[in-house]
Amino acid sequence: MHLSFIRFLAILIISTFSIVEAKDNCAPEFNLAKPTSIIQQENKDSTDKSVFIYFDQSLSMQGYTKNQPGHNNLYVNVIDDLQQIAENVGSKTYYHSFGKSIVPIKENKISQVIKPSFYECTGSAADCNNQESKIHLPFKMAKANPDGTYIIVTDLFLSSKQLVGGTLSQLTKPLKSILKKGKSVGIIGVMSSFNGTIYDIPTNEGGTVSYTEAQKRPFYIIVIGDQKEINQIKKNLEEQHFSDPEDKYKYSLITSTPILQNLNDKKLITENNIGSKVTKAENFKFDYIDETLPVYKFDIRNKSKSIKFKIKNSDIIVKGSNGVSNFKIENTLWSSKEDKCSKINDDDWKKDKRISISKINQNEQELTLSMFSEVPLKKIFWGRKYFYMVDIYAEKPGNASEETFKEWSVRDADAEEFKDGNPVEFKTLNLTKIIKILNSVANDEFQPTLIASLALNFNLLK
Amino acid sequence: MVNILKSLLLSLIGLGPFAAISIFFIITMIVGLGPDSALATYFGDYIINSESLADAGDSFEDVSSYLFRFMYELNIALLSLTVVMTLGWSVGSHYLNIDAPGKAKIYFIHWAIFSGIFIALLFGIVFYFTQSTAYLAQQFLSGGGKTQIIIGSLVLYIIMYYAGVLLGTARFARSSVLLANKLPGGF
Repeated sequence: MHLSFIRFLAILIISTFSIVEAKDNCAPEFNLAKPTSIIQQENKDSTDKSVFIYFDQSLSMQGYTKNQPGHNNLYVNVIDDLQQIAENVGSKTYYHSFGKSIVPIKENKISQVIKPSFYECTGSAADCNNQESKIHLPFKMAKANPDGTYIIVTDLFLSSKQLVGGTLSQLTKPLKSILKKGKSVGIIGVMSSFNGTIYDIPTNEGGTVSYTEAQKRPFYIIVIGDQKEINQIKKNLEEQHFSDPEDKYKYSLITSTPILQNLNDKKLITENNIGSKVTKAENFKFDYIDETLPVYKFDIRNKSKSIKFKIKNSDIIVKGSNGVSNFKIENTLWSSKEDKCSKINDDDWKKDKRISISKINQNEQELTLSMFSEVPLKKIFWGRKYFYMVDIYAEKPGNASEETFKEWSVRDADAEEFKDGNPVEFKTLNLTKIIKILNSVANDEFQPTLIASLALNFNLLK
Repeated sequence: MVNILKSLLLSLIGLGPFAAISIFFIITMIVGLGPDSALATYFGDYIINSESLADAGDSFEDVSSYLFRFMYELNIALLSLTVVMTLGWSVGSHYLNIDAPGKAKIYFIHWAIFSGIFIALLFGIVFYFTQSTAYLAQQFLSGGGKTQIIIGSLVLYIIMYYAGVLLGTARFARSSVLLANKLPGGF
């Protein structure tokens, strides 16, 4: 009898505390924003994966294979190792060359890729595969079989004619399809020694000329696949070849999902994200409610300035990607005249009609949400309890890669003048334009993505 | 003593009509206004900051209790001050004993200083209510509403005070109060 009474008492106490705790949530009824699915393909076991490598066989590539005294030939070194790097990514590697068409390369001929003879053709120009480089062909292959990883080695020397109309759509259509499937395109540009002829440099009169004085010239390794594989390939190349500070290389990731993760999913939002004004405030408490929503509870004076919430870019942006140029916040503010949680009824919560309450800024390191900067705390009624919920969305992708590669790009209209300056380091024709096209396709596929949701639950004191 | 009591009575007569308005207003505020009453509509239209309230998702009804409390406590404070100061002057005027050349002027100076103190206290109370954070309702008032409350309060209570001291000042000291010597001899 005595034991039963103690049990009953214990249950009663526990249940009482549970009710108090539930009530102590002290929040109005709200709907949590659904996290946007961030499509990043699950990596299959590498034993199931195939890697397809495509070498640009156009004659302009030949100069990379010949050593230039005084300059490091990264092309030969990188291509030499590409086979091993590809094997790290997938189980089977298939080699092809592309020019006018795609031609498979037999395994015993792969070593020829770094020899000048690989780019020569003794037949008639019409039969040769070295007269043009139809870069859209490997993209088409990637579209047809998106499970594989595709590596394209090219000088990306594309004339304006190849970047308009039907020729352009031959490139953009498969790219769109690839990005839609959650795949990304990594572009690794490597400055290598060059000893050969650069063909098809457009002149102002409409013709083309060639140039033989270049000693250095960038080539590009374009990787189509999952972000993880692209990063792996980039990392391998960095470790094996780009360790010398003199080695110049650039990297950019074209992806429709530049967002790394939703911070709520793994409860990555902590007390450290918010300013000390809040963490040092009276009655500060930090907790997650509804499993994923971080709530900062505190008391604050109405004379206080805006409340800063910071997120590191590295926590939300895929490294090397274009990033995000525009963020959007969706917020709701509720107030209750009753400021004691235990006394608040559901009807006491009134939704504020103001929408523009806070603003968001981004610099190179972090994203800063300035809460109550548009509607300052001194403009809202003190003596009340407030519940402020914010959802942060990435709204528009950035264009960081255009800036990254700008230095190595020359426009059609400037090509002749550039060539006439007898440059030692030759630039890539229309590179910025190509990157811009790739970015615009990626941006079309971009969906506004929920990065983080958070809530403030505070008493505003006079 | 009879003269003092007479002065107090006259002073109360002077205060009466204005104090009645004030008391009626205070009672109305304590009882509360119906949402459709003219005064509530006036409050809603001209005294409160409807825009801020609407932004916060509130209506006049949501904050009316705070506002009514604010109004009656303000008026109780002002009425108390006015009555105390008026009756204080009325009694005190009997103890003014000036026998010097130009004593009318000296009487006036006494009254002017006393009235100045009264007006300063009046201002102080009104500002404490409308400009400080002592009252929650203060933040629901619009700029125009605050001005109306300040001017309205000052006008009502200064007139009330003046009417009180006009009738209640000791007969021999009437020259101290502006225009009091124009009163008929029966007062």
